[in-house]
Amino acid sequence: MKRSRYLAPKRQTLIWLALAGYAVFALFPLIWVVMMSFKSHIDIISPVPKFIFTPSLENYKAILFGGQSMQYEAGQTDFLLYFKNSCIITISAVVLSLLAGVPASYALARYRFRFKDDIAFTFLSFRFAPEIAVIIPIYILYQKLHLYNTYVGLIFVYQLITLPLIVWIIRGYFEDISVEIEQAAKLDGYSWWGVFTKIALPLVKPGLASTAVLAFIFAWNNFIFGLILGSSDTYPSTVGTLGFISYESVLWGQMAAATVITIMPPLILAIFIQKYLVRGLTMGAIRG
Amino acid sequence: MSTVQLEDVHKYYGKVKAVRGISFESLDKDILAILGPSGAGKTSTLKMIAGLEPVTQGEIYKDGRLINLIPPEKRNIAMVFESYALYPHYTVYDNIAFPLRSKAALLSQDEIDRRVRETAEMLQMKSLLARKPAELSGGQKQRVSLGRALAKRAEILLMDEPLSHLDAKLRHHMRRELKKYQSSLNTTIIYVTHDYLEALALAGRLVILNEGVIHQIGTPSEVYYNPADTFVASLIGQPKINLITCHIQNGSGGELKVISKDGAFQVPCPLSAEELPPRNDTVLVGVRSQHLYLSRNLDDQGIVGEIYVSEYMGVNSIVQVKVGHQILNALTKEQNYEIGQPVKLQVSEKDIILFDAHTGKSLSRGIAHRESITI
Repeated sequence: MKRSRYLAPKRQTLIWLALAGYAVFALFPLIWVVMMSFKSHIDIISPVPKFIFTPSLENYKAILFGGQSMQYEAGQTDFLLYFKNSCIITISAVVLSLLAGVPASYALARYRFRFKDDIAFTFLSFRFAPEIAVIIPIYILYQKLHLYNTYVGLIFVYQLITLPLIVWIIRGYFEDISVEIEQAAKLDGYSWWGVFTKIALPLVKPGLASTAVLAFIFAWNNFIFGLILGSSDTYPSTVGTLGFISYESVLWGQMAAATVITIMPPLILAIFIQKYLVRGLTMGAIRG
Repeated sequence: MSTVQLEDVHKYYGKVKAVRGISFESLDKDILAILGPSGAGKTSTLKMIAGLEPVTQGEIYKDGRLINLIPPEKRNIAMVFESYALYPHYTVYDNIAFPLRSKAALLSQDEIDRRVRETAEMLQMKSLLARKPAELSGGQKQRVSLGRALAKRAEILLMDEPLSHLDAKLRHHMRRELKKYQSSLNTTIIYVTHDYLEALALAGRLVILNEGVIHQIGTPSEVYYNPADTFVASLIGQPKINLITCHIQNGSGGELKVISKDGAFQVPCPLSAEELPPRNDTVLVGVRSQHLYLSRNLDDQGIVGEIYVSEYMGVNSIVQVKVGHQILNALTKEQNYEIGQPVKLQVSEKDIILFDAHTGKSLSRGIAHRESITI
């Protein structure tokens, strides 16, 4: 902010214009989808894009209260089930990742043990390969283990998304805590568990909240795992929106409405974590 | 009654030998200062006593009981950290109450509250109790961390450079405060510092450590007047002790003299021939700067010198005098020396400390006449 004060007004205007242009470019598809969700089918398929139209809630009504399957048998979709699936799978995946990942990241941050760096790197490497590269072996495994089309199976495979993220980010937060703070707590008469729960965990809480939300967003937005490893019982809503495409027609309006609803949870969470992203909490504990 | 005893303690970090076989004992209700430059192994020693670092080899006893394997939370030892190590998410009140709320302490809510307020009163920080560490100044943080250690009423209090991050004024103030608390608390304190003034002012006894080895253990006056070797002599005192390479010669009257290589510096040898080790031709002569007396009167007896540079410091001036090839520091109350001015230097025989030039060990140690010196 400080630096911008020293920019020449002309240059500043150009920068603003460029940023505004990019914002329009990035946001336009989103705005279009939102508009589409309020349009009637006729307005959507109009050859000339319509910016002015009579908004209606028909699409939302159709996906939330049923009736969408009356028109086209093949375009049947059960959006509420898929939305529920998304919630179950994503929340469980994040909770499981936190339960396993927070102790793991603490160990990686604090203790020295054999293969420590290799283990840490293995976690990270889960994020290297595109999911599609490993999906076929996982599909075969899941068929044999009877994990195909189960919540448990999907929650497990979502660990590939959420666990590395949580382990690596939380590890950094733990490393930021001065070792001496924990040593002080030990000398104050607390066992390992006491130090961990009373000192270490509260100090990483802001990091924990923002990382959990980040992991939630990544998991929520995943498409390929649900598509391949789930079926109509367990599809998350990202895959569920595909159901609006049928042989005869595409239910653009309902698809847009489903998309808008699907975007909501991550959007609300992203707004919510902004206040947690302040890392000022640990400042001032150590000298300086 | 609470003492700590170390027996041949070693601490290795991989191949780095931080502490190499040290043994010492703290006296009950006394301040023991561990003095040494950075990297001497002071903090490692302290953390081993606290139980925060495992001992590589050797034994640590508390009140005669081996505590090597006792975890820190069960040692009943409090520690003030160099970084203060306050809990940033707790208020000052909760920071001080934290050790009292542990399972080990077993105190009632009322007792905890009473102790926290008592400690806050003693350290004059009652008005700070509701604040968080981030809202405190350096001196206040230091007080809180001291308060947290004191509230616990541990038998042993360890302090790791507690004053090093305070500014000079506050440091002096806190040093006096500490001394005051210690006399009223009756706690055994082990105090780590790199500041010799802090160590001399606070401690009943000093352990002088360098590169993981103890150079000397003694009272402040012992280490000041009777340093075990050139390391101890150089560590203590500002400006640094003058060390001049000399050899021993017979004077015209048969008396022994120490003379610098260029012959410019010569003083009578304070030791007799029997006290000097055989074949010891080269020695280091140690003279503290305040024991070099300057005289403008060139008719006086003494060593011929020439003012090299003079720094006015208020009460004293640090004057550097060129004697032959050597430059010596002298501390004097007089001022207005001019560069190049010829002077005479006088040294009393009793103020000379001789060191072995090869080993650096003091040759004067244990000599009776040195012990009669009063401070």
